[in-house]
Amino acid sequence: MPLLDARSDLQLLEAHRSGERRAFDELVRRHGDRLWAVALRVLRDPEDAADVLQDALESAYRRAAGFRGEASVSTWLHRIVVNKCVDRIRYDRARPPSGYGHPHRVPVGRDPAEGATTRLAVLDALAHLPADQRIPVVLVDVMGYPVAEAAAILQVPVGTVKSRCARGRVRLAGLLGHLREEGA
Amino acid sequence: MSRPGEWEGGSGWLTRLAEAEAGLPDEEAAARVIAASEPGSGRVLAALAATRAELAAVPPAPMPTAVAARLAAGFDAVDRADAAPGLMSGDSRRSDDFPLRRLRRRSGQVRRRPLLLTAAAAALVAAAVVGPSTGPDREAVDPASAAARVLAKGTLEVGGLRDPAALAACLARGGAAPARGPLLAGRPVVVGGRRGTLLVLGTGVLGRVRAVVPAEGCETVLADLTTGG
Repeated sequence: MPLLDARSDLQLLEAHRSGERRAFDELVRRHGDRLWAVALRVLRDPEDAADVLQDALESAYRRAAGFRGEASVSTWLHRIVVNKCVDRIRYDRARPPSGYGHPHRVPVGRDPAEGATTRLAVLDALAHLPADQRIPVVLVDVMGYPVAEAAAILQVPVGTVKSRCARGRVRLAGLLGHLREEGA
Repeated sequence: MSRPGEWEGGSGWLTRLAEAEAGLPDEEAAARVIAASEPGSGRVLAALAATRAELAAVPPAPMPTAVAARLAAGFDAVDRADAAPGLMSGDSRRSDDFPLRRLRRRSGQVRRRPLLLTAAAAALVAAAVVGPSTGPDREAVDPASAAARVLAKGTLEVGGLRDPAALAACLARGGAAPARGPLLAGRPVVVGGRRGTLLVLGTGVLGRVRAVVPAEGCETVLADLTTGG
């Protein structure tokens, strides 16, 4: 098996639609780490992220024929993952709290002297944001995607992404102690 | 670019300042808002910058091999269902699944696929096929193939080296370059008759990983190779 495939994402998706079994594997190899990171940073719980990623990618695997080419394959895959994350967040919000993985039970602590603890505090704080702020903040500020790409993934105007990021940052600044007096 | 009317809410100077910092409603107007902002806005802008910096410092999260294996098993299940429709109950797939289903059934592709490799694991497996070209470890453990195995299994048995500070100190003591990415996997190994700890480290470059083996006590490094990408 060649480990590197020179075909474009679109060519791979077309090959998958034509029945080539390994074409979709190559797409996952190319984009899987980033898709996983988005799901993990949005949902925080690795088990939830794994469930969502599997659900999303199996959906994409089955429904590749539904890809119309309005966005890039990468954007399309991210959109499916993000939509599944939103579904999961809504589901979690609707069910009674069970402990681990629920944002309102996550302690928000911070120890600036310890890097790992600081990072944990960032991830904890992210979990306190509403989904409509958390997802753009993850895409733009954590993953480093351009605002326009985040807007394409979320299918909202660029200004909406900027506004949601701005509001999320204000809230995070309070949670992380950078803006303690103002709160969030 | 959105117009001001498209903003979501916008009450309060703090939110307006944060939105201006984000470039709303446009860069020129945002600069004016920031320039004309009230005393104390500098502290808010610094807080927002610190927040962004913390978010940007969240480490990359490579897909665990176990998750990749789950995905592969899931795709296999879809293929099997496509090849033998009716065997699975509750199949609610839409009509646009059918072309793929027909093609898979026609080609009879129902064999289980190999582990769906993440970029990092694929790079190491490639290295394992070739093997290291030099080094004293050829007769004992091949660090590349050992690294591929621990990465595939998700093994992380590295004792105190899980601690980033201890890991950094160990690499420094052995004269190795510092880690540039997260610790992905590892286990005790014997290389050239000496005990050490295999560490598989991310490099920050997609598909490229580093396998480094500090000797027991960290006084030297038994192997250090970067592969992939």
